[in-house]
Amino acid sequence: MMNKLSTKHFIGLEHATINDINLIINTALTFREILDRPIKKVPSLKGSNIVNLFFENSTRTKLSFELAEKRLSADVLNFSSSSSSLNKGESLRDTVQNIQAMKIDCAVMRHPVPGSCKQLTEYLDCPIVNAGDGTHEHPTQAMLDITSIYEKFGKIKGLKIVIVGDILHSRVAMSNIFGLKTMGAEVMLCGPSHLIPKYISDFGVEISHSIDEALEWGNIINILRIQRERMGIGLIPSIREYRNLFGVTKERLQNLDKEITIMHPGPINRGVEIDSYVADSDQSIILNQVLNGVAVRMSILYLLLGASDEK
Amino acid sequence: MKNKIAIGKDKSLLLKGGKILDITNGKTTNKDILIHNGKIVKIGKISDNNNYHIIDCKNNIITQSFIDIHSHFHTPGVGDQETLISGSNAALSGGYSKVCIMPNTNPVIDTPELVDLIIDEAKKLPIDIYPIGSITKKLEGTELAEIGSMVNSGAVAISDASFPIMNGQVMRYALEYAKMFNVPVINHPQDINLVNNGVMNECKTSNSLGLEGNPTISESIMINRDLEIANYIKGKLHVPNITCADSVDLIDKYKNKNLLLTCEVSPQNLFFSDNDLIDYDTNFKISPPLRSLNDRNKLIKGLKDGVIDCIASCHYPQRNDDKEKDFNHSEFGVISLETAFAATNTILSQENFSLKSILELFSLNPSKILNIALSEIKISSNAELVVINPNEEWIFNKNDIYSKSSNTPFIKKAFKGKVKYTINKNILFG
Repeated sequence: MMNKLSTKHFIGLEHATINDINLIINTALTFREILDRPIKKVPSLKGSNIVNLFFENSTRTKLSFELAEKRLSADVLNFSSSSSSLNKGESLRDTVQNIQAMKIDCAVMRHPVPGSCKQLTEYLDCPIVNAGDGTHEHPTQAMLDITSIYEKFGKIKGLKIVIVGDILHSRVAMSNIFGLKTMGAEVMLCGPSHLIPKYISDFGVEISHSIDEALEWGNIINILRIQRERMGIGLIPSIREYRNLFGVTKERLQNLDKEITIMHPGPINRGVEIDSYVADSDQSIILNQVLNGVAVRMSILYLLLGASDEK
Repeated sequence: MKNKIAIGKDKSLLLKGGKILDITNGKTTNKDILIHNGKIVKIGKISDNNNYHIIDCKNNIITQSFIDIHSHFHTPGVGDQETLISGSNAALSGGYSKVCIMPNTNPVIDTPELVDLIIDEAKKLPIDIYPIGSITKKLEGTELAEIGSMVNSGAVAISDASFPIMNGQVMRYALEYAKMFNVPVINHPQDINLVNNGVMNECKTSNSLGLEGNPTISESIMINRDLEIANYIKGKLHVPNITCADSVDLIDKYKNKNLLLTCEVSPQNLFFSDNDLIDYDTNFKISPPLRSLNDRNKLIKGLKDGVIDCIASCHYPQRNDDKEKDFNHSEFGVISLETAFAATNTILSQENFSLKSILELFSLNPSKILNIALSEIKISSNAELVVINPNEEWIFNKNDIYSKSSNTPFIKKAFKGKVKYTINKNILFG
């Protein structure tokens, strides 16, 4: 059995194979067991240096990666750059040249510009993991979403997943669409019509502008955070209106004559896109997503760096 | 690498065994051409002579050298993207002997003094430079520049280069005012608000790459506005660098209204499409952007139907470090003078364009659009010629770049048709 990914880097799910996605899920679920043990550390990546390059603010993804790296016994370097130097358009190559000299084994990067992880592969020899590149992809988030779905349902194929929110500006949505479609799920996008990309139906997804219709359709609903900064530029007229049109509210959940699994990549805006009642309900797997986030990132790092071709 | 040879006063240049195609009348003849002191002195069967620098033109076409109506030499300026000299070499290598340069320079070409300066500097060059003056002072899109004085000094058109005139009233004033001097107004066809920071065509690929999309309506709406204004006041409009199917339809519609209307397309938009951006290669980042295959096919049809008047290189040199930034922050533009003919000929010859119809897009039609004289190929004319092998297949590589910059998406691309020699001002480049 192969226990390495077919690619050197983990940049996105658009071209990921079913085998690779299954391998990440299964390895993550094995690491999940370790996370439930009293001593939550394995020596798999002892001696490996991993650098976390964060060119954009992140709390959760950064903590999750750092924890995953430490659980695998890797040595961790953290690099954060203010967005001001990026605004000046400092070249990525200049920034990474110093890091290259440190002889690192793997780089995890979050960057506000789409394609920058792909670009980084030209400047660094080591494996690169995409921790979110602008509005392109956030593949580790999508893998933890997919793993959490698999954990609950024991399958992905044939499930109906709704993604609701600002799809236009969401890297999480794109990675989920790619990964879920590859695994044979059906995907529906729900949100204000001007926040759903014009050509998105070419990716084989359903589109709805009615949250009630979407809830009726799906087995699972993944609720994206509404970024408050979008309101400043008039894209979302008001929180009140958004909640009325697209909020997953207590009433909407109670009026549904079936169970629907609730997901959210966080951080949650309670009372905006999701009611507290919904987030804290038995149908919610939001906290499982967080725990699986560490396991999935351990899985990906291990499969890129630690696993050998031998059984 | 090609060489630049100055033919001395005691020498003559003999172009032997080629087929002459005079683009001004479309006639072809199999004759030799003798050039002395920059002038054609003899056409016919000419025997060799020790005083002749002889060029074997067997299987080659000899025709008028090309006119580019849309280049950026960034002169005056810092000089690290292009200089008049490096730009001239790039032009000659691509068969051009006359180049119109855009005014987005530092300082901006918005006064007659700067037009004079450039024309004066250009006297030393092996090519002829035709400055395009700005429409508005400092390209700010508000106050008209000294258009009349710039035209008197030699400006052949007015344009705010890559900065669209967003204010319709300013565009109206510009078109009305420029009518007095009989020069076209060239307005970058992009509505900045609809561009919305887009860095490539809005399409399925822009979605999957996560890049901000620039929709085709950003172009068609701006062109529609300019056409309406030009039609209303009967102004002279040249639409640069069109990229999409809707633009071709709009221009076609207004050409039927007998407007003084012309337009151009770049070789890049004929050769590539938005699919070429899948690797985030910033050498495909141009403004207006590469569009869909459907748009590209419509541009080719527009050329065939005569809706699109000419090819313009849209040569835009950029420093390596400005192209090596991440995709959003890297600069727009590609160099194109070296590759324009070969790239265009490669595409259009596949689409059954005759060589004559392709060459017209490079010399005859640009000369009409900007009123730039094109000499007939006859005795006592200036020898401004290009020697082309229309069937030679070759691969473009870094050695074929003469610009000071190297931001081209054409490296390793296969071309059909090669410029062998360019002759201008008694200089042989090839």
